[in-house]
Amino acid sequence: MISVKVTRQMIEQFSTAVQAGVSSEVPGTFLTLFRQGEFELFQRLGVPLSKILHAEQEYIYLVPLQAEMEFEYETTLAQVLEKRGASGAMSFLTLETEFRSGVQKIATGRTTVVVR
Amino acid sequence: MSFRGGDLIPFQTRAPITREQLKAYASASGDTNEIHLDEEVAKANGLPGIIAHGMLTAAFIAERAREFCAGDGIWITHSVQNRFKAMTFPGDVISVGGSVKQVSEAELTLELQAKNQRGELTTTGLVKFKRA
Repeated sequence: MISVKVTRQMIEQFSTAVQAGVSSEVPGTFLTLFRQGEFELFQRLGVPLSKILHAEQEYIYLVPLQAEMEFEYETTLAQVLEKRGASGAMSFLTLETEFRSGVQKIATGRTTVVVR
Repeated sequence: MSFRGGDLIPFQTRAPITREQLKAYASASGDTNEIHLDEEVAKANGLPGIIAHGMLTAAFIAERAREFCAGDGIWITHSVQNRFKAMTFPGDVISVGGSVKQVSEAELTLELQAKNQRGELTTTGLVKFKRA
């Protein structure tokens, strides 16, 4: 379980990096800032980040995220699929991240990567 | 409700992707995978060179979606779903557009595509909004 606090600076820095327009909401892919659980999972699995390509990503927001919000998140390995492609065997890993504020579920992330 | 299913979201073109942009994105997002930052690491991993973060294009898609419905009262982002189809490299020029997939009083779903300067589909996006 990883604890975070959303800061105004995080939102501003990310909004600038993706050239987001002015909005009362955080950018739609803002949850991508919280991939530490994924990176730790890859490390535990012995998969170097440089071998990973992003295949699919989904973020579902149950409440809008705002500056000063505090929450926890945890990432688990949901699925492993082995596929045979033109360049040999590839593994597709699907990771699920649940974001909670206390007992309230606030968001879900689902990441599918290809390990080459 | 001013949108109808099938309404077009005109393609809008972004400035060319730069290495500086990828550095700034890596720092802002925490995705410091070196295949996005270091030419040698990218090549050592079988890539033609540095590739852009898929999530940068995903952010362009989410942004285009939000901009499209900005004039129609308050829509709150409910979900953003992306599939990465082809790699993006520094110098590539990304355009994002699409159409309205579904709309009701309470929900709006937009289907978008990101294409490069050769017209190749790099990323698809499904962005769902709910009424505030």
